[in-house]
Order: sequence, then C-alpha cells, then structure tokens
Amino acid sequence: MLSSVTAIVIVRERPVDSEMIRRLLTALTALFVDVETVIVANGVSVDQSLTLKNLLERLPDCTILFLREEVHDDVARLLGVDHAISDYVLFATPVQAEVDAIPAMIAALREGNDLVIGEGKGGVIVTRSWILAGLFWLFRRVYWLIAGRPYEAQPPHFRILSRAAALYIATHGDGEVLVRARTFGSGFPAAIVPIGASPPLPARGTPTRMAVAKALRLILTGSALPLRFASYLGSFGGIMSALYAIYVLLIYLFKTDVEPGWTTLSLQSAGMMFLLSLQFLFLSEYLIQILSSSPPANRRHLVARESRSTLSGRSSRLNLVDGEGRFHIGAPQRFVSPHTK
Amino acid sequence: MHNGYHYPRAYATALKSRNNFERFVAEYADVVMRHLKSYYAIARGSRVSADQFEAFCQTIGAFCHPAPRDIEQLFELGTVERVFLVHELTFDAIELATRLHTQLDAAGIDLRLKSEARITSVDDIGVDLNVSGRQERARYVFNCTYAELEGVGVELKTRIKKELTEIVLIAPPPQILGRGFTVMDGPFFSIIPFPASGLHTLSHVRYTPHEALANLDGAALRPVRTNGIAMLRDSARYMPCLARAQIVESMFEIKAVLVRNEDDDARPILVERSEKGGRIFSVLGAKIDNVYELRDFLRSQVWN
Repeated sequence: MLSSVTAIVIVRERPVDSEMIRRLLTALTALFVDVETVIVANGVSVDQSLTLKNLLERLPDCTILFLREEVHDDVARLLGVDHAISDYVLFATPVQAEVDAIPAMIAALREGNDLVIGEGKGGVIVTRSWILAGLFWLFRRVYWLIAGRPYEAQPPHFRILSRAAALYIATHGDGEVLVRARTFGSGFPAAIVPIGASPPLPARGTPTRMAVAKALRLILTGSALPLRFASYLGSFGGIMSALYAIYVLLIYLFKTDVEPGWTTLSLQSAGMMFLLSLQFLFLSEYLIQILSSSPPANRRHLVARESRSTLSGRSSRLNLVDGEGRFHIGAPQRFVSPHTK
Repeated sequence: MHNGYHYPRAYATALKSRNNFERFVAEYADVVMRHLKSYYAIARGSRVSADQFEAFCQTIGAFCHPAPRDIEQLFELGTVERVFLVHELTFDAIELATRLHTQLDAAGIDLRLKSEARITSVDDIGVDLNVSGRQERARYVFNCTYAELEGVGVELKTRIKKELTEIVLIAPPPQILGRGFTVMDGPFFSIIPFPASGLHTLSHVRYTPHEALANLDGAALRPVRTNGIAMLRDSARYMPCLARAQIVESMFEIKAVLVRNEDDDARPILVERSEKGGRIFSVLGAKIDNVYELRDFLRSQVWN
C-alpha cells in the first residue's frame, strides 16, 4: 500500500455528490494507508454550504475550505494543495469513471511517474459562448507566443501528483498554468491513463470579468517579454531624442533663418524626452528583476472559513505496526488515558 | 520531544506524537525544560511549503506562530521561506534516568544493566533465557533492545535498517544559546539544547548517517571519521552565526529504522510478536513518548 493521499474536490454551482465522494474514498482506502479529503467550496450558495456542513459530519478526515469570494478553479485547486499534507495529491470531480480508474492511475504512479493524468470522454464540460470561446482561443495563442509554453484548454479534473510535483506547482510563480499542464519538465515523469466515458456534466465557465483579468495577468506575468517590450520602447525613445537633439544642433549651425528660441526649446524638449526614456528603461528593467525574484502570492487569505470533520479514520488506531506492517487498533476506551482526549 | 511538528507528511504519527507530548510533559514535568524557545524554519526547496506546514499545525492543533524579526534575521536571506515559533520542549536525560531508577526500585523491579541476554528456548507457557550466565524463565519476554533486536536470538519478519549516526555537541554562539532550531523538510539540520552537557546538539539529515546496513547480521558499524565540520559548515549556510560555533565532541549511535517507512515521514512503533509461542514481543520505537502508545497496546491485550 502507498502511504497517504489527499483528494481535492472543487465545489461550485453543481450539487455535491456525496455518494460519489464516498465511493472515491473507498477506492482510495484500498490502496493508501491514510486518506484525507480537502473540499474547496468556491463561491457556493448558502444551500450548498449547509449541504457541505452536513457532509462534513459524515466524512472522516475531511477539510472544507469556504472561500471569501469566487476564484478561478485552478486557484482553488492550488489552495487545496496548500492544505494537503499527504504524500500524494489527487484532483477529482468525482464521477464513476474516475473511481473505476483509480487502480490504473495508482499503477502508473507506482511505475515512478510524478504526474498521472486520467483522460476520458464526458465529465465536466465547460460551456462558453462563441465570443468567449474565441477570446479563450486567442488568449491561448498569445500566451504561447509570449511565454513559450502552452496554456492547456482542459482543466485538470482528474489527475494524481506526487508530493514533489504538487509542491512544485504550489510554490511556482506560474502555478495557475502548471496546475493544468500535461508535463512539468524532465524532472517529473508524467503518464496519461485513458479512463471510461462519463455522462456529460455541463458547467458554467469562469465569469467573464474574472477570466479577462486572469488572461491579462497571465500574459503580463507569464514572461518578461511584455515588460521587456516596454524597456525596448524606452531605449528607442532615448535614441530618437538624442538623434533629434543632434538634428536641432545641425539646423542651428547650418541654417540662418531659424526662429529665435526654437533651438533652445527643441533642445530642452529633446533632453527631457531623453531623460524620461532613460527613466522608463531603467524602471522597466528593475521591475523585471523584482518580478523574477519575488515569491508567488500567498493564497491563504482567500479562505474565509476552514471546517474539519470530527470523524477520523486514524484516531481509533495506535501508531503501532505489527510484523506485517498493519496498524494496530487502539486500546479499549476505558484504558485510554484522559490526557489523550 | 517533537510535539508532532517533525512529521508534516505523516498525519497519524504527528497526531500521536502531539498527544503523547502532552502526556509526557504532564507526567514528567520536573525533568522537562519548559523555558526552551523552539523555532521551525521551512527551507526553500523543502518537501513542504510554509503554507502547508501552517495548515498541518492547525490540523493537529499544535501551536505555530510566525517568529519575531530578530529570529528571522538569524537566517541567511533567501534560504528559508518562513520561520515559526513552536511549542517543542526537551528534557534532561540524566534527571529522567534518575527518576526512572527510583520508580523501578519502588516497584520492586529487578534491573540488570550491562547484562547480556539470550533466548535459549520457547514453549507454550514461557521463555527460557540466559542472562549473563544465569538461567531464567519468564512468561513473556519484551525485547526492547532497539538496534540489537535480533541479537537476543529472535528472528524478525520486519526488515530493519541500521545506521551509524553522528550527533555533534557544539558550544553555540550567544544568539542560539537556549533556543532550538529545526530546518525542515529535507536534507537540513536541527540544533537543540542538550541540558545534560550544557551544550547544543547538531544533527544533519545528510551528514548524521555515516553508513547503513539493511541486514542485521552484517558487519558491525564502527565510526571511522567525524562529519562534524561538514554539518557545521552546511548549517552555517542557513544560519551564518553558526560559523562561530565550536565543535566540542561527537556522539555516535546505531539508529534503527523500519525499511518500509524509510522514505516517508511515518515513524510507527514496531511490535512484532514471535510466531513460535507468541510469548516474545520485539518492540522498536525511537521516541521517548512512544511508551504511552505501547502502554495502550499492552492494556488492549489478553494476558495468560
């Protein structure tokens, strides 16, 4: 058996399928010693909150993160990773096809892969208007052009990551892009496991305002290229100002019919433009250096409330194994010291 | 006593460690150093992020608070993500030994230290042993010989790895004195006051283990050199003030770990009951507060 896994489930507008979560946990319990669940309630309604609280009373080792405001699902997944303390992290919807595919996913994990992606037809399908679909297509092309790596169209509904891979995306500045990437590079072997088809579950896309803000943010921070372009503009402006100053001096020296004051005024404006362009150039370069060395933003402030289940599959056992490596169930309650309570 | 902080990737071990910490501190209050200030630093490149460590501490209910600025400044800029003040204590080993001796005397327990024990035969109602040349018979035998579990004549199913380890005793610089620092989670180090000598111990995940044997009947592990300077120099990369620490001496010990838990954070206690007769229990646990876990286990058993 593998050591421990954290299943991360994002809940938005769709009702929580507690039966499916229970099936997922049962499948995981057969393969992992410790299983915990982190449910990220991302902009849920009051009714949904009540349902989740009821679920918490029945699910052992479960944490629910109620977010202050709705965020992009990928940010919610990264928040889940920030709260995961197991050796493996699983993103799940969950649907029956995912539950059935768990053994195959774990087999790929045992082969040494750090990222195992389950792919199949159906499941959660994001619906977008043709305008938004076009803008999304355009964004992905622009992002690829600027950042030199793809922004995957499919959200990471079902995948399992080793702790090292999960930590890599959680602490990397481009975590929101990496979380849906199909590979993290040569240091993290990845495998794709085909899973069975699921009935389609239509879901609304990210709100337009949030999607546009995210797209602009990723384009501007995904690479230093936009800021570098501003830096090049500064250089260009400086060179043009210097050339203009030379032109003004040449006119002053070789032309006789120059209006009084034109030379002074022109040299003054060229000099000012030259200084402004230099400032622009240096500030852009400084910003590039600052942004490249600054750590990713802390996401924990997004959590409004963190609730944990009182049930635990671990609390009834001692941290004691026998010769076969099986954990020992604890002493009868009457023998347990009051200090442990 | 780790109070759970040391096992951020093994919730069960962490939770038990946390519970047992409270029990130990309450029961052995007179030998515990309560004034110790302990800090955990999460290194850049650690196996847990600072956020995950904080979330983990909340989950197990352990105190965890950002360290003050003067403590953060002890670390080289950029080497650690965040530093936390935690509630982790240490105990005076000499005082604890004295107290336990008194308790054993009061309970009328025959304690024979520096004696060699060997199991000679086992039957359905008891075990015959040779203890330093004297033949003894016991209804049950608890083999708690740590790294020498198979040395008393019991065959174990569980694979145990023996490591020759070195812990360095250092005279720390004034900034460190009386404070404990642990840099997590990976090939980092820990500096903890060692009241018995008035010094601090320095252990390092990379340099503390010297050599290892996965087979218990292998050649004996003996120290041939010290890694003290390497430990101190690597630690000083994170805490520059450690460059002024003085190495006083090295302590070598054979450490035993379960092979199956070598790569994860889990440190369960092994209780393996002998197949023949079931009257010999081999116990392997590395932490002092494991006694409570074992006590709960023993009380759950039926003895005849």
